Amino acid sequence: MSAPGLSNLGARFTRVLVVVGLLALGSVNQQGAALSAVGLVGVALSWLATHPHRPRVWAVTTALVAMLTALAPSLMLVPWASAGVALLVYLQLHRARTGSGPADDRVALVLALLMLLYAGASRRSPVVGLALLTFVLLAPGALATLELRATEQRAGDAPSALGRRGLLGLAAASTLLTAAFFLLLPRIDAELLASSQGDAEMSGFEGADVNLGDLAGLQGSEELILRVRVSDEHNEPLYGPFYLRGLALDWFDGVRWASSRTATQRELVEPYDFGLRPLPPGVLRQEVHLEPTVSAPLFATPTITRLFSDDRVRVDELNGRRFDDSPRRRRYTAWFDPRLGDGAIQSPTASEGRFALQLPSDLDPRVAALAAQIIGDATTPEAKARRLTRHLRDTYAYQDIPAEGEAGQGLVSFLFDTRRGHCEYFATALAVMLRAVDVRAVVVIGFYGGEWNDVGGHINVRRSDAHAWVEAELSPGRWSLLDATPAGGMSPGDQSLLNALSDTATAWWSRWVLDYDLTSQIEGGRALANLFAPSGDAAPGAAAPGLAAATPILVGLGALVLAIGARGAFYGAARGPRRVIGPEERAWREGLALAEGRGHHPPPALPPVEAAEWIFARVGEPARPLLTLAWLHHEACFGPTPPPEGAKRAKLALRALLLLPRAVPPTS
Amino acid sequence: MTWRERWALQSRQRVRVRPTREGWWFLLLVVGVTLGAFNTGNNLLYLCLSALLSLLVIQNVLAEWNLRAARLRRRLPGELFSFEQAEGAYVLWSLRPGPALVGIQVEELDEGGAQAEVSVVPPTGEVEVPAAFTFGGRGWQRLGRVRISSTWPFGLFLRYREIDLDEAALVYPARRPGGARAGGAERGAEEETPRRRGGAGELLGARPYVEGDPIRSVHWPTSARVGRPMVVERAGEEARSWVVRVDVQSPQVEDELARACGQIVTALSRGERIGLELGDERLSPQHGGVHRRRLLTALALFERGL
Repeated sequence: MSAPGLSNLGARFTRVLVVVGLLALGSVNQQGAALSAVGLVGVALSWLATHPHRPRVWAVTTALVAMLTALAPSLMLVPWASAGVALLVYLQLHRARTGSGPADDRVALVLALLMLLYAGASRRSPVVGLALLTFVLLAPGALATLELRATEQRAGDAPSALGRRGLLGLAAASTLLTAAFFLLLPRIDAELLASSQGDAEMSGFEGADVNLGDLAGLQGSEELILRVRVSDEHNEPLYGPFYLRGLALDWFDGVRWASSRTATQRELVEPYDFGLRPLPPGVLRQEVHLEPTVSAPLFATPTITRLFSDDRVRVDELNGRRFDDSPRRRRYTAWFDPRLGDGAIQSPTASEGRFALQLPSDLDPRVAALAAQIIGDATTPEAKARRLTRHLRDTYAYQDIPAEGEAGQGLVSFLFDTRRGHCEYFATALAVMLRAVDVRAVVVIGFYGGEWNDVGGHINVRRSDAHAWVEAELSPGRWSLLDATPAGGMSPGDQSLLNALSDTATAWWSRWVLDYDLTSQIEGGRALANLFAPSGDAAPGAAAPGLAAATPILVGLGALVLAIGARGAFYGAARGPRRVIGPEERAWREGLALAEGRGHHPPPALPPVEAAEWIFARVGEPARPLLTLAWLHHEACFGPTPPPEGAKRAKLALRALLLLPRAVPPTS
Repeated sequence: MTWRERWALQSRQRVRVRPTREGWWFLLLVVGVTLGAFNTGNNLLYLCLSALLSLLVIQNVLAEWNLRAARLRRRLPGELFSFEQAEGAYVLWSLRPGPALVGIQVEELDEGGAQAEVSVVPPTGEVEVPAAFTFGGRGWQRLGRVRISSTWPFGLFLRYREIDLDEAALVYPARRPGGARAGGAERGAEEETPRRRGGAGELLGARPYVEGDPIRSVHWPTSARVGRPMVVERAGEEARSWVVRVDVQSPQVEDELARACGQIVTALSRGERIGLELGDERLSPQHGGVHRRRLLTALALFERGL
C-alpha cells in the first residue's frame, strides 16, 4: 500500500468514525436526531468542499452553527446541554475537516468517542452497539495510519510498514481483545453516584391502585415488557400461552382496585441462589428478561416452585412479588410444575387476606342479586365459580378499546348496560360476584399470551398483552385461577420471519451485552468448574448451570488466546519461518561467551560484527578469530547462501580464540 | 562486571513509557469511563472501556516489539572539530524477521547532541540515517548513552529506552577563520627555504580554491569545467613550508589552538607543507593525510602543564 493512500485511509477512517458518532448521537433522542441530522449535512457539505483551498465554506458553516447553538437555548429550542453537544459536534467536524495534521484527526477521533459514550450512557439500543463495534474495528487502524503520517511528516519519507493485512490484524486484535475484556472484566455496580436506568413506565403496575378501565390504555401499546422462554427439562421450548402473574389486588371501592399489602413482607429468595438443590422431574423452567419498570413487579407463572434471581424479591400477603431495589433491566429464572394445575396457586398468606370478601359499601344490590341468580342452587365455591365464569364468558362481549362514552364505565354499567368491556371488567365482575356469594377472591393483573418468536424460541410479551383475571379460594387454603374473559380477547400471535430475526437480534443484544452481569460471570465460572468436576458433584436437574452459561467466559478466554495468536498479522510483512540456530551462530555465541568470560564486555546493544570489532580494537590480533566468527555468523544469517565449510571454519576459529588474553583491569 | 553494575545497566536499558499530550487525554478518558462503568454498571460503558483497554494493550504490545527489536550503532564522521556540525550517521537494524520497525527516533544523551529519526526499518534489514554531531570541546570525548524512542503505533505514548554505546571520539579544536596569516599563524615562522618541485612552469596539478589563495592563481577554464574554483599548481612556484607556533602560555590558549587548527587545515588543503610547535612538541613541516592527522591530534590532545 502506498503511503499517500495510507494517509488518505487514516483520514477516511476518521471521517467514517465521525459519521458513526453522529449516527449514534442521533439514536439517543429527538434532539440528538436533530443534531445528528444537521451534523450529517455538515459532513456532506465538507465532502463537497474537500479541496483544501476552499476553507471558506467551513468558516461560514462553523460561524452559522456557532450562531445557531448560541441562539437555540435562548429560543428554548434545545436545552443548554444539547447546545453544548451541538457545539462539540461542530468543533469536531471543524477540526476533522480543517485539521492540518494527524493530531487534529486524533482529536476528532477522541471527540467521536465522546459522542459514542454519550450515546452509550443515554440509550442502550443495538444501534449504539453497532457504532461501538465500528469504532473498535476502525479506530486502531485510523490511529496507526495517522501515526505513520506523522512519522512521514517528521522523517520526510513515506513509510509503508502497515499493509492491508496489518490493518486487518489490528482490527481483529482490537475486536478480540475488546470481547475478552468485556466478558472477563468483573461487573461492579458501585452506584457511588445516584443513577436511574428505568425508562419504561407501566401504568397499572407502578402503583398499588388500578382504576377500573386503566388496562384499556395499555391495549394499543406495542412496547416490549418482557421476554420469556419456557422450556421443559430437555430444554425444549414451550409455546404457551402462559399466565404471567404480577400483582394481586384485594380492595375494591367500586371504582378502583388496591392492594392491602401489610408491612410485613418476607423475602422470597436469597440473592445468588444458583439453584443447587435438585428439582423433581417434570418441572418447567421459565427464563424471564424483564425490561426496566418503575414498580419492578416480578412476572412469572402463578405456581412457581423456585426462583433464581440476583436481586432481592419480596412477596406480600397476596403473593405479589416485587423487586426490592431501583428499576433496571432484570433477568430471572423461575421453575414451576404444570402437573399441580391452576388449583395449586401457592398463596399461603392470601387466605388470611382481610379483604378477600370485601365489597364496596355502595355496591348496587343488583350485582349481588345477579350473582345469586347465576349460581342458582350451587353450594360449593367451585360450582359457584364455574357458573359465574361461564355466564360472563357466554353472555358478555369482549371489547379492548371502549366505544364512545364507555371509557371509564363502572361495574354496574358493564354488567347491566353495555355488557361489553375488556379483561379488567370481566375480572372485576367475577371477583365482586364471587365475594357476593361468599367466595374469597382477588383480582390479579399480569400478562397473558404474547408473540411467539420462532427464531429465538421465546415469547415476546408487550404492554398490549396486559391482562386481568381472578384468583379464588375454591377450597380451604386452595386458590385457583379463574379467567372469565372470552377467548377472543386473548389471542396469542406469531411473528413474521423478519420481525422474529430482528427481535432475536435485539434479544441477543440484551442477553449477552446489556444483561451480562456479575451473576452471569459467576454462573459461567461455576459452569466451567462443573466441567472439570466429577459427574456426581454436578447439580442435577435444570437448575444446574449448563455449558451455555460458561459460553461468555469461554468466548472471552478464546478471544484472548486468538488476540495473542493474531500478533503475527499486525504487519504487512510475512513472518519468516522459525529460525534454526546453525553451527556458525552457536560458535559465535560460544566465542562471545568466552570473550566475556575473560573480561571483554562489548556494549550489549552491539550486533555480532560490531561487538567483535569492539573487542578487536581493544585486544588486537588475538581477537581476530572472534571477528571471523562474527562474520561467519553474519554470512549464515543474512547471506544469500551459507558460508562454505562454515561449521569447520567456525570450529577452527573457536579453537584459536582460546588464546584470547584476559582483559587488563583499568588503572585509576 | 559485578551484579550491581549489570543490574544498573539493565535498569538503565529498561523500556520506559511516557504519555504524549493526546495520551494524557486518553488516560483521562479511560479513568472517566472506568468510573462511569463501575458506578452505573452500564454495559455499554463497559464495552467502551473494553475498547479503550484493548487499544491500550495493542499500543503497548506493538510499541514493546518495536523497541525491543531495534539495534543501533553510530557511525562517526572521520574528522570532528569542536563547535562544528559533522555529518555522521546512525545505523538501525531490526533483529526480527517479521515486523518492520516504525518511527524510531534516536537522540544522544551525553555528548554529541545528534538526533535522527527513521520512519521504517525493514525486517532484519538495516537503515542508515544521517545525524549531525556537535561537540563543545576538544580532545577525547565520550559518547555514551543513546535514547531510542518511538510513539508507534498510536501516538498516545512515547516509549523509550537508553542504550549504552560507549565510544570515545577524538575531537579536534574548533577551526577559527581569519585568513592565512591570522591568529596563531602570525606567530608562525617560515623555517625552511622554499623548495622547487619539478621543472619551471611544469604543471603539477589542480586543487580546489581555498580561502587565502590569490585570485590570480585561479585557473578559470578548469574551474568552469569542474564547476567550482580551482587553482593550478605549477612547478617553479613556491611550495611554502612553514611552522605554526602556538603560544601555549597565552591565557587564551584555546583560541590559539583554534586559530592554529584553522591555519593548518587551510594550509594543508592548499598543498603547503606545515609543521607545528606546540610547547615542547615539535612536528616538522610535511604534507599528506597522515601528517594532517598527526598535527590535528596534537592540537586536540594538548594539555598545558602546571
